[in-house]
Amino acid sequence: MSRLLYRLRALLRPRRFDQELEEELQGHLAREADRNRARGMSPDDADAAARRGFGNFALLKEDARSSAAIPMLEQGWKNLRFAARSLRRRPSFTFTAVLSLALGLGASATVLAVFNALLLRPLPYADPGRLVAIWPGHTLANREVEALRVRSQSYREVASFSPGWLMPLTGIETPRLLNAAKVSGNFFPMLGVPPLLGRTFGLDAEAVGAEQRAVLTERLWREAFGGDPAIIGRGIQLDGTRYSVVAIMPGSFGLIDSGTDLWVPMTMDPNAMSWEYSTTLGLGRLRDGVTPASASAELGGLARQMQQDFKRNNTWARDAAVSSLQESLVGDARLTLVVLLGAVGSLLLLAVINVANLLIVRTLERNQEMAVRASLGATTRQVAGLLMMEALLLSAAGGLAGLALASAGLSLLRLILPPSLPRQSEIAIDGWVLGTVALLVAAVGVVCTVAAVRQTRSHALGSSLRKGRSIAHGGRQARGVLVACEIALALVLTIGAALMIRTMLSLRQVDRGLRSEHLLTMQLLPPNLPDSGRATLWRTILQQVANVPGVTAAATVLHLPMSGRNWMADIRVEGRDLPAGSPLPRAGWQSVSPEYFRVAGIPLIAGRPFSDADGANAPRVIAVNAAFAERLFPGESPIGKRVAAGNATRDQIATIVAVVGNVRHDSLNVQPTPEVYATMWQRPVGASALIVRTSVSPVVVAPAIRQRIAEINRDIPISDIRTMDDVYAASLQRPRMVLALMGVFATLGLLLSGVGIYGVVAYGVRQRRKEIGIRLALGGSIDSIRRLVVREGLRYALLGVGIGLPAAFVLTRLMRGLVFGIPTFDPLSFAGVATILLLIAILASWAPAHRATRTNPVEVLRE
Amino acid sequence: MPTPKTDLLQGTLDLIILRLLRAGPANGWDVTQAIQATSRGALDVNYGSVYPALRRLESQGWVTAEWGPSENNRRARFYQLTRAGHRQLAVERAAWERFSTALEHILHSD
Repeated sequence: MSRLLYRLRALLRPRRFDQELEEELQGHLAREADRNRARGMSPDDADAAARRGFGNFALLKEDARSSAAIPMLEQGWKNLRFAARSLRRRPSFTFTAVLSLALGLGASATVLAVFNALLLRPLPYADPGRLVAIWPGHTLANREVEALRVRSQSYREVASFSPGWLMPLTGIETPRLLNAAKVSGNFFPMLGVPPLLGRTFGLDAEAVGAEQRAVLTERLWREAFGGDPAIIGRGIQLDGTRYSVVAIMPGSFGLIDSGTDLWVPMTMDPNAMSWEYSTTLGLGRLRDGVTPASASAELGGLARQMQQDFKRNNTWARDAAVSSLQESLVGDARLTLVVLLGAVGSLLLLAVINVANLLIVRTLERNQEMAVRASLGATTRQVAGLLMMEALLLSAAGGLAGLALASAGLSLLRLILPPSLPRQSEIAIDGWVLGTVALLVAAVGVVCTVAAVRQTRSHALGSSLRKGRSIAHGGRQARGVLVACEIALALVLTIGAALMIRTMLSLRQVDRGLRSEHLLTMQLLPPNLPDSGRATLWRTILQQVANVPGVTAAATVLHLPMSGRNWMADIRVEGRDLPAGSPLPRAGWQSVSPEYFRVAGIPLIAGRPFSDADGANAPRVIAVNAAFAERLFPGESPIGKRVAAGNATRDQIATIVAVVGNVRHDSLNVQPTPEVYATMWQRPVGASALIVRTSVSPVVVAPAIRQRIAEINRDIPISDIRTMDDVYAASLQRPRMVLALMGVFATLGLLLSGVGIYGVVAYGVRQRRKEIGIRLALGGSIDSIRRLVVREGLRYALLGVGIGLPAAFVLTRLMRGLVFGIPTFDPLSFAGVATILLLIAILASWAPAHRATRTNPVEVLRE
Repeated sequence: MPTPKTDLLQGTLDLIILRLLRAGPANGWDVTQAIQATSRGALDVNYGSVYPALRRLESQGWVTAEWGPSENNRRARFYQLTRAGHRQLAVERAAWERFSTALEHILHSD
């Protein structure tokens, strides 16, 4: 203990330590001199003799100091102070280096924060590592859940979750259309997240005839009920039925479907076959030692059994799989994140190369100083320690500035993140991000040190005192290679961004299949009525809306294109029996009012349009899209063919009367899939979207339409009033986000590589001043000098492009899933970006070239 | 007649100082004088090197030091063996004795 205290004191208070030692030594000398005088020496001789017996005073003190403290630590402290001083003396160097690193580290920290929140941090549920998503196809029925619970060995519990049920909330001032999720009784106990208020329900809520209960999200509770705690235990009118509110879940809960307003129990009637057309997700908690892979294998076998037992059609178990819940939540965001992570990684590397380059230049400039240090006995390690301290100081400053940039970057990022991205609220600069950035800072410091030290080792220490001039060349070559690497990285980054730009452009140009301009859409949910009542209500609504000034026509469609919702139907063609075991073809299923195709601007390719005559008592008719015709009736006309589209209970043979154009329903970058359209009058549905073509700006007529519908029935909730153009814009949000980020990264990359070229070329010019001076003196033209310098910059750039193009070719293949409408090897992007980089190289070399031409030969030759 | 002087073997200065301090607290001057006196002038000690050695011992925690008045009333730093210093002295002494015995054997092995 005393040992440590002593060393610390010596380390932290070197002056005091020196003073004490000095006093002690002086005391000794004084006594020695006293004694000499007592022996009869003259005072001067006495002092001199005392000193003689003592040796080198300064050396002694150094000796004492080094034995007193931990030498390395003390050296480090000294180096740190020295490094800080020397950095302060070169503000432009320091600024450039810190800025480079701040940009690289800031971008990294931003993407790391997203990466961590979405992919790394465990879900906020009890023991989240054991939670899995179970996908036995597109529906999971009562008996299937029951069978999984009983037959499977893999799970401790199986719950089911079915989001996206639209339910009107009435009996309050403005009725609202709520997005409910139906969940099995064990859903909440399984996830194990305590509610904010009240008590969630358990398995008993599944029973047939059990009391209807509802668990609200914090958001709905605040918006619709003013955050009143007395709501617990009260009843609300939901879908025409009384539900009692039992609990409020905190805002952080509910990641599976961020649009969910509330959860209600799913009735697990053992006799019910399935929930028609619903998308139900099975959730499971694995037993100890069971992996998702082994559960998946087991599910494959069980699904085949269940398919026979429940006489499900053979498409049912097609996609049976079990995956970790975390994986299934993030889904295709993973690819986006990996690509972005690669992009910031490259940017960081660019920044590091820049700083390494700057440090190399600086080290070469200081060769004289380094050589003096070496000749005074500084070991390579000591010099390296000094350089390391500088590099670490720079990277630490860059890291701090980068974190500041990242927190600003995150607030900007929140504005462009697509709302569909899960777990956004968890994105933050947390301990993990800080720790990772700290590690990066340390790594950057070490890498830069190594780069700089290599220069001193090979050139400075031994020989630089003697041959001070030839050192520049080797260093320049090394830096040239580094700059070429920078160009290559910037090239890859920029080609990535260019591919995203081209993707965005081609997505904009994709034929949507309908005319989206001047189209207003909204979601309506009439109260529960028998089929005939529904059809009548829809007719009334359409008539009334069509009379609103500014409206030219109105129609309904079950699921709007790009709404993220779709019903799938199995298709059986009359007279065409499939061999046993082969899957039935599937198609999207829509119910539309007869005018839909005309109002939406979907072209009729063959047959006749629907008409009002296709009513409830008329023969059943359907329309199919072109993709359907191609898939099921290749080379023949589908008109007049009879097919059954739907589920067992709803199967009704209908005649195909029309082929209409393909509409991109799920995503602009996915080829249209087969779809069938039934008419609203023959297959009336509840919730539907209303689409309204307007002669004026669509937004203007919205209030009048809302008013007119309220006059028909006050209890029809209206939601999601948007123009069709907005619907498409929203669907472009993810590619737009990737584009925005890649664009920022690529711009920074170009900027940094420009700085890199500038630095190297400018230094080269300074080294070659004499040569340039002689050329000028011998009558070399200014242009030839300029060419000489710019050619150097271009040489690095060409080398970089040479390395970068094949690298980009390989790396952009990673982006295949993000790119649309162009091949990943897009000659236009590749050539365009290479040209941009060469231009940047010329630009970056121009300033040094200009300076070179103004070299005064006389002055230089005199040096 | 001047006594022939012997260079101090590397590392023995620490042992000497520890041994001398066993007698009680002493300052640097006392230590140099004691070395001179007890070695009967045979060891050529650079007196200056005593001070770094003392600091070294202090940094190892084998001695502690505090300021106090010397006999002639100058301020002087007095060093004292710690418990760890006593142990170290035993260790170094044993090592030295092993070494010198071995050397003895070698020198008289004819």
